[in-house]
Amino acid sequence: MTEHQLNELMRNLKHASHREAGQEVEAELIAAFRARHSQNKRLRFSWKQLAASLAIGALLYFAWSHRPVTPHPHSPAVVEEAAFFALPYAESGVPLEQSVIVRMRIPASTLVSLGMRLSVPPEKSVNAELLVGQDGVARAVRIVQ
Amino acid sequence: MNLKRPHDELGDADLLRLSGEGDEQAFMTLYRRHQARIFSFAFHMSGRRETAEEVTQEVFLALLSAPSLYLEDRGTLQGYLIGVARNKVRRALAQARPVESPLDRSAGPSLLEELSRTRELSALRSAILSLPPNYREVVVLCDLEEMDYGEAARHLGCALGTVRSRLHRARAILSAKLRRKETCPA
Repeated sequence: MTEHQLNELMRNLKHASHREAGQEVEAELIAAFRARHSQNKRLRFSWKQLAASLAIGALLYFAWSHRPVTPHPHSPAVVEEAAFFALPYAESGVPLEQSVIVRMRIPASTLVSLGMRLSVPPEKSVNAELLVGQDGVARAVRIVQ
Repeated sequence: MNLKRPHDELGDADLLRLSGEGDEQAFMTLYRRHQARIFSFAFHMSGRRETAEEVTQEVFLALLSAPSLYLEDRGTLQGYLIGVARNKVRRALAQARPVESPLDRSAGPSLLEELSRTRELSALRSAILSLPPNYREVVVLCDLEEMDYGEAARHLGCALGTVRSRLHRARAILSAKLRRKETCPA
């Protein structure tokens, strides 16, 4: 077979062959394209939702952390301001939500042993107020004048 | 005034970008622009229409799922797609031996001539399919796809001289095989 004959045959083969993929391929690709981009849209929407949620969360946290603090009469902070003396080992896992104040006379020596400084002799008793939490645990004590 | 250009007038890079943004028309314009060459390459390499269609579909699915793998500064999109098709054809050939598929029958001058022509083409196709893949690729690209040697060398990732020598050797093998067929048609 000559070079020319081979070239001629090649040309014929080129023209005799299938030249294009069928319509099914195109249809499959369109379906794949739509599936992919609808998924992308959903993902983009999710990201927007997530970003919005984070922004709202950050805003709420900012508002909460900068809220004006109104002192509660029986909160531990008030105890300090009102010269309540926190009792050692009285820390409870239960937060102080409701409390009662119990007035009683307590030996000065007892209060001294708790770490309080008193000007009265240790053998005497003094009027004191005990701050008792809703769990019945005494949290703090103060001397009543 | 509408400044939007029709998709057919846009370059491959623009179409690819629009496609990534969800423009279906852009993706299909790319497909219609390049599918014939990809299909034809895969068909001549595998000898099977089904394989060629599978490869064509996979090539464009790959483009759809990872368009960023095509780097514009490293060559044409068509070159990239042929490169992807080449890998997929090789994988398909490794899985199944190519089988000769019947040629498209077009209306010829006479039944006898048509039969003779069909037989010759069938013999050529068989001979091409029997070539080692390296040789088959250059025959398909240079002789059947009419690509110039430089372009074929870029697509195949080899030197221009390699393409020339492979093509020369491949054509010699084809001529020898066809001569044998002529002398022993059975």
